[in-house]
Amino acid sequence: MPVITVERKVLEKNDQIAAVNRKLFGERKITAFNLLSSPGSGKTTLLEKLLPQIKDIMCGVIEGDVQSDRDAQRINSLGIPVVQIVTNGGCHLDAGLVKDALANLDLTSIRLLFIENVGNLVCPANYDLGEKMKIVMMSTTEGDDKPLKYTPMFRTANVCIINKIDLLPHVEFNPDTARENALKINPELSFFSVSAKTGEGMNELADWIRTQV
Amino acid sequence: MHEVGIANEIIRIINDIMGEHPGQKVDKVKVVIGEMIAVVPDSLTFAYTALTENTLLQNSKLDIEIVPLTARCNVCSRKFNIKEFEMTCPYCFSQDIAVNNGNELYIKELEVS
Repeated sequence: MPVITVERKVLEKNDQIAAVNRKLFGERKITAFNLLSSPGSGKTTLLEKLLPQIKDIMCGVIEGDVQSDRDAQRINSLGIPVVQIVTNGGCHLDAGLVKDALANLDLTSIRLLFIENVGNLVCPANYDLGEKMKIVMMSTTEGDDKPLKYTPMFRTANVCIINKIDLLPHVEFNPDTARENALKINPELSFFSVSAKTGEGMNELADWIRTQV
Repeated sequence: MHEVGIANEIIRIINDIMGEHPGQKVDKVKVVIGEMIAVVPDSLTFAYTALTENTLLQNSKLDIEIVPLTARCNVCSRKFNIKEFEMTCPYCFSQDIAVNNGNELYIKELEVS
């Protein structure tokens, strides 16, 4: 039977567009973070608390959601430039969606871009968006074995934020176990423990972000 | 279900290639997928079958090869399979390892007639 050799990456198109995005970020001196977590870990709340703390840096946000522009409205009310991507059922952002969203942001005034991905720890791990770093977040109302269940995500992330630490007295989540589990998957991962609600740990996170811009 | 997105990209690439091979029909698509990509083969096959229904690819079959996660230890130089994603050398317990295989996601070849 005749065979046609292909040897082509399945996500080649995404990777090509991601490279275009990365080049654009480089030219414009924009630091882009891909922010990832399960639904309800508090990504938008984290941004709502963090962005006012780093007012000295010109920020922009791309919000990815399956439906609605509720998250973009929350960011917009802070006076921060934001573009909402509605994936209409799609479970992750891809580089093409981000490229289209970038066309609707005034990049000349942005030094730091947060791309809040769709709440999902599976699919977004495979899609490079052109970001400088992936920041994965888990919260204390989830299992501390999450890194062992969603290994590709924790393997490809650079930074891990543990959110909702104000709830630690009330939940079974053990932050030390969570760190140990995450480090088994990715020994290079660095951690921040925060409560976006009370503000605990947010200064340390803001200080680190300043070093990245 | 990132399998749907992956199936869509596979179909896009096949159509791209078959545009240069008019008159030929795809019988089998060999896809190589690393364990780290976390694709469920049954879900990918289901998505591929559903998306190719009533198209020129409708009778083609996906042949999925899963590549185990393997690594080489940078300290003791031994090679090993990674079990349950624990990124530690089972011989010297170093975490300084280089993953060799398991991140693949590509179309290897098409069998046509």
